[in-house]
Amino acid sequence: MKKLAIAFLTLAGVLYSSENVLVKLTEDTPYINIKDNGVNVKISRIQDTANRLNDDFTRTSRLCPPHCIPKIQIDGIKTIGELELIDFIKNKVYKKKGILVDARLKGAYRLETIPGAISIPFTVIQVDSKKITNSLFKALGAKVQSDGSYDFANAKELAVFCSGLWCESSVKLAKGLIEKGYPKDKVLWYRDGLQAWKLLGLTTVVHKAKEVKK
Amino acid sequence: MADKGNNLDDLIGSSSQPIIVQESGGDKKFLYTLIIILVVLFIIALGVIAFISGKYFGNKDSNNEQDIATAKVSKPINSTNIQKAAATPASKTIKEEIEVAKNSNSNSVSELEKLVQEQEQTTKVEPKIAKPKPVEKKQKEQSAIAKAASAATGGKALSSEELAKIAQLVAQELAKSKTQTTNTSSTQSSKDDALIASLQSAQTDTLKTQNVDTSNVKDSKVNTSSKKVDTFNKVVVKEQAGGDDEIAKLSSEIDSILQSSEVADKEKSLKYGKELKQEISSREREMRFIVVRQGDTLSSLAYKAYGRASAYKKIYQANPDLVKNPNRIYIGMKLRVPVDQEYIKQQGN
Repeated sequence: MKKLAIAFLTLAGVLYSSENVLVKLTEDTPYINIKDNGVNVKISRIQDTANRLNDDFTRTSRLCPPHCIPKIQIDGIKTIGELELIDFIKNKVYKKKGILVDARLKGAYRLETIPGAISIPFTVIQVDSKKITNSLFKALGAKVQSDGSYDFANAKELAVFCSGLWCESSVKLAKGLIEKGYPKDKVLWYRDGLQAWKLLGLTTVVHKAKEVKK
Repeated sequence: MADKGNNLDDLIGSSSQPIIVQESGGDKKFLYTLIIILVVLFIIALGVIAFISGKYFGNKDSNNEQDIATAKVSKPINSTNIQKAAATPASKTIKEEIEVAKNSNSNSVSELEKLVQEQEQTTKVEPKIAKPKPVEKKQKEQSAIAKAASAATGGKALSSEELAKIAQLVAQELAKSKTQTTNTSSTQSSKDDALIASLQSAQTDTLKTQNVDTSNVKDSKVNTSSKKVDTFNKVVVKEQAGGDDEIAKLSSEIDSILQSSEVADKEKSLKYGKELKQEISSREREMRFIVVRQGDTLSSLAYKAYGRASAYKKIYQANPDLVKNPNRIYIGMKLRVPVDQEYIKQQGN
């Protein structure tokens, strides 16, 4: 009897708490969940239909070069959009088969990034050091064989992004990874970056450093 | 106790058996819990019904509104839509709606009626064509006017230009409905056919080129709940909060790579990296927040942030909540304080 009552109460609770999500990710997905640094983060969109972006990511003009408009596809790297990225987060990152990579400098990553992303600044891949490349590839799931070559069989899929259309960091990282041997079919490029992510009102995370010293 | 408890039907249903429940205290307790549960269930059922019906009717209303709006604005060529929108409500509701529209802006509606009549004369159909019943026509016309007015204004007064536009549209639609009724009538000469055809094509063209202002059309599904909406959608996470999480582990592994001097040197030597760092530092300032304390006003906050109280507009404009309700800042409210443009320029140079 008690169980029955509890079941009904929880049902009622669920019915009441189910928010009326007006702005969904897709027609059938109101939001998804992802873990970021061990914290559950709900990726949803801002529900205020009158909301507009303010100064963050609304700057229109940066010097070009170096901050130029990229092509839709670069060097045959697969370009993806928001829905593909959300799908990647849901199916690859969540199941630990893929990694969402923020290619910007660590400072920018701390300020604001896409939930579930880890920071691999493009500078890492531009360093000419076998040792660093080895440890990076090892972290990404590749095996370093005795002859110095890599076995990428268990290497994770990567979805690389940076600040936005004007930002070259992600291209630099993706290109660098492939140049150093990372398989092309395991690298995806989210071209529109954080700018488009923000423009759609999607959830972002701020990473607070472990110890803040001033 | 256990037996009786299991045999619920006996307790409630059978009146022939004497009720044994009264005897023991335990059974009484059971009855009370039963009653409480029933009451709770009843309340839940009520809630569910309210929830479902509210949702259903709420949607229905807004759909209606949207139908009319879209019929009027985005699909003006499809005259059947508008006819439907105009014809479906019963004659009572039409009158009511006219009343409502008149109340909201009596001037504009009467003005609108005049304009429609004028427009009608200009796009007059040949008298040969069989006319629809005058009463019906009048009703249709009125309802169309009311609909157009209510859909397009959203309570605001109309400028004469807008009125003319709407009147033109309504007149065209009415003319169209006339031609449609004539289409269905059996007696038609070939001359009439040609006339109707030419009329229809002409109207389609004008409607196509009509630049309809959609800015006044309400979004039927605006979030109107009083609950505060999160307009930042930002989650603060402490780095390496969950040490055993695989992603966090990987992150710290890569961090240790980053700490090597080679990577740091590379970062310093790159011109591109330098520029990115500038961007980051300006973003750090850009994203500043101020938490409102007791005694703060927008101008005092502006003085704190920019050194001059007159810069309060910057804070005002950067906070969507304030723009909605500028008279309310409250203690503990988080306000975004955008960076000085001059500072960004300095950084750029």
